[in-house]
Amino acid sequence: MTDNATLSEREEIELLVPWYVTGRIAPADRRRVEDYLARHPEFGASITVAREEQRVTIALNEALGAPRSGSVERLLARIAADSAGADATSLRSKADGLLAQVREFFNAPSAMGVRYAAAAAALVIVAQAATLGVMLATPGGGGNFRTASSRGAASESGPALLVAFQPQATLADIEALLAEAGGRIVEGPLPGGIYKVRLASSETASALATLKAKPALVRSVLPGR
Amino acid sequence: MSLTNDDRSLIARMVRRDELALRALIGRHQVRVYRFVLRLVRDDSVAEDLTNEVFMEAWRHAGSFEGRAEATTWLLSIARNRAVSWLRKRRELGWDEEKAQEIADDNDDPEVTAQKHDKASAIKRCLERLSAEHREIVDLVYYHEMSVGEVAGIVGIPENTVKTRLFYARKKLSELLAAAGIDRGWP
Repeated sequence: MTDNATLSEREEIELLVPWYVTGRIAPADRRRVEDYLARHPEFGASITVAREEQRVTIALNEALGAPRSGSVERLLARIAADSAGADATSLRSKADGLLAQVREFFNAPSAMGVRYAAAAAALVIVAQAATLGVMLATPGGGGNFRTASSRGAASESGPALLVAFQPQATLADIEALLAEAGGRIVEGPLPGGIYKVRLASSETASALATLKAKPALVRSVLPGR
Repeated sequence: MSLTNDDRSLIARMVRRDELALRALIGRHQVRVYRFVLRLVRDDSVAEDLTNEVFMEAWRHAGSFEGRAEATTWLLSIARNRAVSWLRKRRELGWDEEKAQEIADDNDDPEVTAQKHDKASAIKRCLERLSAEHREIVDLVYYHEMSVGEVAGIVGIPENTVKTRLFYARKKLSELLAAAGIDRGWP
């Protein structure tokens, strides 16, 4: 191998070093780096330099902190407003589409059976128009999306718990557990991965006992406000 | 919330407008997205707003998530687009990030000057002085632990360019360190 060839190989290996130190490298490339290292032990210094860069980059990023608490709720409120607007538009569009179809039908000769279908469609329009009216008349109403804190099944004035779930708890586990405890998530994640759970009834002690009885799913639970 | 839950199933539930799934996705990825954006825009309130926009877009377009990439890669791609668009608008207003950084460097207080003598602090400081393009690739690889292919997907450049761009970012870092009196013997 000539000097130039060696240099070229070294340059190629240099390009791979950052991924070698993070471990996100293809097995074949890892073997190339290790093979080169075995033949050129002095190349270990290059790995050390990259590891130092990695350490400092991680420290620098970890020191950046996190978004302020409340930013999730602001986001969910925006999504709720956005979703309500989109749904109103969508329903308006569907209603307009059906109206056009009905107009077309009554302007065109057709069989009696189809006329019945058109009459049914007209009834759908009436129902949709009513829904649309209710949605437009209700501030913040409508939309598929409901923020956890919007008026819903659980009473807004009911007692609340602060709950941190175990990392291995699945969404299905959490939903089943909350259903059993009679609560729903109304806020979170808050710093520390804590969620605020609003109870439908005032049975705080019972709900606390239900959640505490599942340590495999609940890391900690405290009465909230 | 569960770290073992599959992000793909969360996104599939978001398509069905499941708020809990969105909250879980936010819980798992918000800090990562925020830090990635903050390193690019260098303004925490802007980073917070852009982070919210990322999840807003994820919510609106959950149905377009194809599942070929990891959710992290998808979210960081959205985040990058948002951050780059914000930076572009700011540049159009006449803000020159590199010049602003140079001015800041000329005004080191005694504490900062003392920190320069510590090697880790010096590396940190020089990492901050890299261009946004170089900071981005350093962070994606070292902090977000993205593979070459994932970085290529997020940044929108060929894989070979990913490798060479990081190499030049590291080289620039060595030059900045050398200017600060630290020779790390690389490259």
